[in-house]
Amino acid sequence: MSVEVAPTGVPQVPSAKTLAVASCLAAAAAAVILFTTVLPAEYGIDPLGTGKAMGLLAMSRAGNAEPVPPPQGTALVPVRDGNIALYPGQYKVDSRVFVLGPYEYVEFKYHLEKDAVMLFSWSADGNVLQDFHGNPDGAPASAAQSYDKQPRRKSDGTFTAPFPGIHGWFWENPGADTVTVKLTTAGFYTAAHQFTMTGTREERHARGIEAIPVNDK
Amino acid sequence: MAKQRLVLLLLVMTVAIAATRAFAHEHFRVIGTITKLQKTEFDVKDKDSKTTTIYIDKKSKVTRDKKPVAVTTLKVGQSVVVDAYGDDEFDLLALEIRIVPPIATANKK
Repeated sequence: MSVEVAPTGVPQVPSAKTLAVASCLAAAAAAVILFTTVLPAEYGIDPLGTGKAMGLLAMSRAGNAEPVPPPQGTALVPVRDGNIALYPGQYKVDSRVFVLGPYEYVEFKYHLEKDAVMLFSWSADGNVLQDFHGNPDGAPASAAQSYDKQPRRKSDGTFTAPFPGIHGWFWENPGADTVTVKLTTAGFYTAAHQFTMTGTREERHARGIEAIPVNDK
Repeated sequence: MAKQRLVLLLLVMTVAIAATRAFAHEHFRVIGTITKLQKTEFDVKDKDSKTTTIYIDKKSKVTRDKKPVAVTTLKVGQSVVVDAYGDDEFDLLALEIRIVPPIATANKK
């Protein structure tokens, strides 16, 4: 819409007809946006089917839908939902340092339910014999299953428990020099157990995620 | 026939009890120096100066550099790594006795 300027320099006011036409066009455009976009996205009202076509109906549902409760139960058993697995509780974190004198060994394991996941990183500052293995709940020690016995000085990875039981590492110092092993884990385990050379099994406390410092940078 | 069944039952029960007892044992490792040596037992003093008595039987294996050696190779003063099993540390039977280089002089990195 152009505004004509009179030869005298005073802008010419648009006529009433021009204003009416412009107002009608604006109202029509607003109505089109209202029915095609706003009503489907905000209220789930979709008279023209454009909300469904553009995927806007989900926006209205998100605002009004009841929150889905987390999986129920006391055991940290994962419930699969597409590409994710949900648990009835939070994961835990743990960090350990084991100083192994000459020929000493230690065994450290976490209790996980079947299909529960754990992330791990460990490293040793010398040669160690290692055996990442698991013992099914209620089975004798001879039922242990080995997952990895290759010679390593460090290992970073993820683990999915093949059965409910305790899963973890045996590290042995095969030489006369002291070796330090550092282990860090996070996962849906419920307990940590340390087995010593004196035949004892001690339960160790694993920390909740509140132990993780907040990163405010 | 009944007698044979009774014998078989007793045999099965004996094996089951023996297996249960075997599984009940815990594994121990004792590392240190032999301080006393007898025909059926020996004492090992560890780095904390704690002495543990360990029994030996015909199945106890003695090795040096991963090779089997005679039990008579064991001597007072040798450093050893003993894998044993038993109900507790006062009732240990040696499974394997490894003769290793002197530990006290080599354990500093």
